[in-house]
Amino acid sequence: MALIVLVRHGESEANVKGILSHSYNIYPLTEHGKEEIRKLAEDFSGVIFDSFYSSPVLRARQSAEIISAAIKMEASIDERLRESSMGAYNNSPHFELPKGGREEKGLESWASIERRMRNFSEEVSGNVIAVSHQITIRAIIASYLNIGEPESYGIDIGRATISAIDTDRKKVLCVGARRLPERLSNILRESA
Amino acid sequence: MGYIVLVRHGESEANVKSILASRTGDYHLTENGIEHANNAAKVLKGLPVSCIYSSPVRRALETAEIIRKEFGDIRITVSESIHETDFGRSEGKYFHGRISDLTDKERLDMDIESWTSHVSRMKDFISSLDDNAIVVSHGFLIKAYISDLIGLRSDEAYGINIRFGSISIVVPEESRVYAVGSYSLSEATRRKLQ
Repeated sequence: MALIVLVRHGESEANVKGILSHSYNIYPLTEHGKEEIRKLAEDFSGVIFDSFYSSPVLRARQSAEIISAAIKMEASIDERLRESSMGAYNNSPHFELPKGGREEKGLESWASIERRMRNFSEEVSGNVIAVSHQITIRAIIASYLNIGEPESYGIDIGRATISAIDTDRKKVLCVGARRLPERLSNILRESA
Repeated sequence: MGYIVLVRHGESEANVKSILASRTGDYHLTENGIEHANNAAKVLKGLPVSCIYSSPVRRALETAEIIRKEFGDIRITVSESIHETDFGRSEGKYFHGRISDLTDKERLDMDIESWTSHVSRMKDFISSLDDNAIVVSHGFLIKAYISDLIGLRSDEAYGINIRFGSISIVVPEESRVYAVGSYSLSEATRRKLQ
């Protein structure tokens, strides 16, 4: 039973260079990326979370550090929140990715991404905040809407945005918002 | 089970010129827009629907015509209810950026039709349908309706992106979505819709 707030990391060197990367220790946040997370983090000031997690990937960890200052908690690393595996295309430019399905290209399958995010969401409880990636957040939102990969193409998780799910009522509360929505903010503050 | 397929028109000259055009101008689909419509037609071909509805705006009508070609003996019914956003005093003006990204306050300031107005006219229209249908209309209208169906307010739905020629599918009685802004459907989804 959890209310999980999912934050996508801010702009990173990988985004700016148009590179796909699932590596843990390269491509830090740009100055712009740090700034957009700082602004977003202000919305969480005074909110009390029960737990805080982050993907192990650098751009996520750095985003988590910035959020830490606002919510006065350190993030625990959870591998299940990591970027999807890019297979042989790791650290290559976007345009080198040929057309065709995920698995054909050697990328991590949608089913695998959905499974680990689902696993994470069903294990945690209380008010949770987690920093993760575009496709992982999209996959868990799609999962709670009971739709698959092609059907969720319109779920667009921008950088430094907030999404949220209520695992108890199996509801999606927020998709890719730039600021913490009022209703969600009230729910988080009331249930502390 | 009554499902409704909501298709956003393909890219048009108005979009490319960044003009807010609802009741003015006669903007056609661009080459890209024709491709968007062709793709939607290909994806939707074979689904059991009894009618195609379209907004009266040219870019929607042209999209509906292209889809209709894949359906043999089916008619297009034009409906004012699913018209483009009323841009008020902003009609005909240039607007760079995504119109669907405007906040409620910005809409009010620009005299543009509100989120709640879009939701209510789309809900009224859809509740008047009694069978599976394809409905060709506009991005913000589809976005607002779908977001509301899944329980999201305007500030909670920023990440719902209804692209040109994209397909969204709803089952209104169940408050369920089967697709949101997609360009293809899996086999499993197609089977559910048969």
